[in-house]
Amino acid sequence: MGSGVVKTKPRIVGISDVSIGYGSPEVPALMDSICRTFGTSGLLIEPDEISRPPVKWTWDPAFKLERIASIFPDHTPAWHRHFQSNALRKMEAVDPDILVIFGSSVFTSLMGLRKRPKCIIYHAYEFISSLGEHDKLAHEVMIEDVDLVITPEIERLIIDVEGFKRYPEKVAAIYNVADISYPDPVISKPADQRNGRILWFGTLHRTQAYAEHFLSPSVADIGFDLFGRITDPDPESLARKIEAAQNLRYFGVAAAEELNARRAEAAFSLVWWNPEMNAGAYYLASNRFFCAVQAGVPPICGPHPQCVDLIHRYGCGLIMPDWSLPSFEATVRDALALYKTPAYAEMVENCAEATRREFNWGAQYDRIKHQLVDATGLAQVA
Amino acid sequence: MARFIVVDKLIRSSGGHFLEYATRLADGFREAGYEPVLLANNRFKGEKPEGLRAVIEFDYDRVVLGADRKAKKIEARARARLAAKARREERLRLSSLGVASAVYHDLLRGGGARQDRRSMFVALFVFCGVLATRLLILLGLVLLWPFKKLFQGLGWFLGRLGSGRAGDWVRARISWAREYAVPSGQLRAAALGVRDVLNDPRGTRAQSNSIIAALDRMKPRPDDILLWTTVKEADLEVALEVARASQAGRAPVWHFIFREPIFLNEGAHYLTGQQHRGLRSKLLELAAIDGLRIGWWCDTEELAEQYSTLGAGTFGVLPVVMPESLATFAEDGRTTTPEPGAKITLGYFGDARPEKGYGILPELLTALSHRKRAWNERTLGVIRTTRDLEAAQSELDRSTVSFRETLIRRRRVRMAEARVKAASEIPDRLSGAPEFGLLAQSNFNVPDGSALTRSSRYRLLARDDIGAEIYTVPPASEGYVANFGRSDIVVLNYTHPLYRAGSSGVFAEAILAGKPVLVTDQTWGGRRLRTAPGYVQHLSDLIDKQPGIWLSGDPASVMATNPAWVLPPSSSTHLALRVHFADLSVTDQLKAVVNIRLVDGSVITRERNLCSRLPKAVAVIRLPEAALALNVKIERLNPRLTPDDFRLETKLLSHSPEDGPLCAIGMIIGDADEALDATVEMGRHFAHYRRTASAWSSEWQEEHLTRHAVVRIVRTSEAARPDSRQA
Repeated sequence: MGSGVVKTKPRIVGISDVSIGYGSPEVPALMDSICRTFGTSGLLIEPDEISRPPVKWTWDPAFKLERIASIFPDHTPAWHRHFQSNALRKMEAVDPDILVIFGSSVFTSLMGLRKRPKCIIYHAYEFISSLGEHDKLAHEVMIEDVDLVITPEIERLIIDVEGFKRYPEKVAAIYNVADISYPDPVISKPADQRNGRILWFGTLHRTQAYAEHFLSPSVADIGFDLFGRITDPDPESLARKIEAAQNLRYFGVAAAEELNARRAEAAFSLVWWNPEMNAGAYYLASNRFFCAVQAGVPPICGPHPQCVDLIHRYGCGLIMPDWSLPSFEATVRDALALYKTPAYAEMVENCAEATRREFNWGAQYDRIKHQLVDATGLAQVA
Repeated sequence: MARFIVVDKLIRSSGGHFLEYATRLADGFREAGYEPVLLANNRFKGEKPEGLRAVIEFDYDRVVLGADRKAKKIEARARARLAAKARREERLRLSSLGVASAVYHDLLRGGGARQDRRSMFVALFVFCGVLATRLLILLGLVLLWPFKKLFQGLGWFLGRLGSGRAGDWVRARISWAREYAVPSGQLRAAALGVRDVLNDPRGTRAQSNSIIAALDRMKPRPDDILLWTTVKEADLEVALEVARASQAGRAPVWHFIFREPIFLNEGAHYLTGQQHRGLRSKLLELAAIDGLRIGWWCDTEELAEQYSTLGAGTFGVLPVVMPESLATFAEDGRTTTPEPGAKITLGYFGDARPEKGYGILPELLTALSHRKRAWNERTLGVIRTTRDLEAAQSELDRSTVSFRETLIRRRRVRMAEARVKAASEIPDRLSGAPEFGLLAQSNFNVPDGSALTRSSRYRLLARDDIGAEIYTVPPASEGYVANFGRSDIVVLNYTHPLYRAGSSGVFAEAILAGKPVLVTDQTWGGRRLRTAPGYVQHLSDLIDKQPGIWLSGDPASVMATNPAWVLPPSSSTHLALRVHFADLSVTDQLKAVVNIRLVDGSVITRERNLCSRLPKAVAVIRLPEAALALNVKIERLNPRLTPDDFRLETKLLSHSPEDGPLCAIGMIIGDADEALDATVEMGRHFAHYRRTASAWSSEWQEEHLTRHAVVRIVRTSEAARPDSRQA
């Protein structure tokens, strides 16, 4: 464990495993919040993904974003190593008091540090056990040395720590409530101003995300709006079929504003991931679920435990019996039968209640603020 | 001034319940005019209370954790080596050389890193280095090849030699030598024995020597009292050594308190076996020591019965002593009515252990947070069934060819209407229940805990959003009492057979503080609750007054191997049982086993003990909504009990939350599945449970306040004194 005592105006450095602004909105949200808590400006280091050019902020974050430029193809071993090597040099040059690690694939950089920062915060938002052996070794060696591990789904972390038999003491959980439009609020509309269509925003992949469900004749009479990148191994074929389907509207990778606007008009939203991919996919901790609730668009979810728990808590959505096509069809038809009834209005109001009480970034960050302060030993400024 | 001396090797720190217990007794004896002296572990850490002397030599880590500790040290060293190696490799990996190596491999795969000239040159350098290394290895292999062949030939020759008559002759002599000439097994055993004697692996010699030295220095007098707490068989060895070696130590009256059961079956039928021989021998040896006066104690009646069965002496009951400060919470319960709907805090106290029910806490709290589950199920159920109804109605509206077909369609419509009604009436298990939170002590009793307690603790850490608050360091006395004050209901889902007869300090503290309890049936706490007059009377009155249906209590039918199934009406919510005992000398025990068949065909079993030293015993079981049929079977736990000795009454109750509370003081459950409904029941009628628990506290204080324990020990000591004997 670190000394945990940080002098005033700490130097805060964050390292992200993805380019900022295109997903994982909790990364800039958490970095911004941590920097504001301690009244300082931090440095967030991001890798260089060719398909994700540096983002232009429309707001004023409390950190500087620095991209490590790379000539290597995205996500190749050389690209990873080049990024981590240069990020390590950058970190050692800054000599941070507080180091925040976002994502499991950059956790290995901890092993390369010559000098341990006074405080290490690790936001483990991925399923560690699905990573390569080298990443798992890094966790085995270093995770107990972290001052605070933050996870969006505790069951995943339990599987991970039992897998490599290391048990970090300070653990906290927060939901992935940050939206791509952070810090702007998610737009929502009254229940009677919806278009009756069902929204999907996320990757389109036949195996990972059951994209074929939308193409089934049994739901050909139901309107779906699809946002997201087609990542299927045969993207052209899937794209053609989507294009041909009369009931589908495909918007591709839309800007945050457009997604926000379209989402607010939808009647329902869909949230799932193929649970057979790995345990992390079963214990899904999806931003989409929370963003849909924030938008007042009740999610129709596969029976992922976190979704089930929260829907039972707030009555803010529907749960499919399983991930199969018949279950999908039955649940979607139930949802449409519910649409425009007083029960639907109540469900939308439940979404608003859930957002007010819990599914907002302020409430989630408050869950860990005191633990961050304890871990650093520093008084908070905000 | 006479002294009260406590001997406890497990008092090792200023936190923890061993010191807490000793301190409570010490305070009580101080008030009675004694000077308390606590002989504690010589590695005591923390602030020493008045009178504590850290003199007992007992290396807890070596003796108790022992091999585990050594294994952990080895593991820690291996981990440190792995970490150092991994970090060296990672620094190399992330250096320029490492990046170049990645580029090199990328090139080999036909990758597109050709644009970086610097990396290209370094990659070329790496390539040359790799090639040179491989060439050197090849050269080495070529030079060593003749030697390799030579050794292979030698090995062949020796193998041929060994497989022949010569080899057999040699092997036979080696076997003979091993067995007869060099008794290695015996030598080894002897060496280990010598090592044990020298090392004192259980620490008994070191303990006894240090206690003897302390007592010899103190020079106790006949009016002093010496108390050995939480005694086990190994501790009796130490006591025997002390008694034999220290004449000064034999002067005071010795008292031993035993807390662990020696039989795990239900009483009152205990069969002493070979496994008890060691314990009984030591008890007899102690009792036979000339000049030594002894008081034998257990902390529950059941344990006292068990130990008395050994025939080494009569054991008295010395209940676990409680701090009087807890009783102030009971006073609040008698005089203050909680606000309806106020948040209820569940309390879990003691180490986080699976056998203490720590594992149910995350699930229970999560289930209590599902306030909209019933609404979801009803809403969707009505949607689906309404769709079916509409389909049935539209089918009815179509013209038919036959009257029979029309009747069938009308029936389908009626059934669909019934399903709509049923869907709209799906009960809400949490209706009328307040919000719940949890305050859970979560330190492990073993390093890193067990898989269940670790994962449960992590889950509770993540459940702060629904009111879970945990603390991982056992609090000092004031903190412990304060946490008790903050809790409203104490959860005691103990499951290990050790808790059947052994006491639960937490249960005693909860009742003393007037806090309602959720307790498992087959435990000492469950027994105390089900025999509490307030509990028995309330449930007995409920059975008489609540609408319902009486079932046959014919002993022949309920004690049959396959009792008949009964179909309860849909309005039935609970099954209540009441037993009247004709002969109080032959109670203990009956057990009711209720099998409940659900609509999906599965069968669940609920058990309740009907044990009492009172004329009446009662129990109640909640029926699941999906219950289709049930049967009740009574098992005799005491073989001396005959059907003429008891009369059983069984009633199916229709009880809704609006009818008032189901029980009083607390709720008894058979297993963790029942915890949710029991907790909700107590939450709904919390004021009643709090009031009745506080009322029982007064009776509890008579047993458990320290001054009563002091009186018992002092009286026993006085009776044992030589002058009182002569008198």
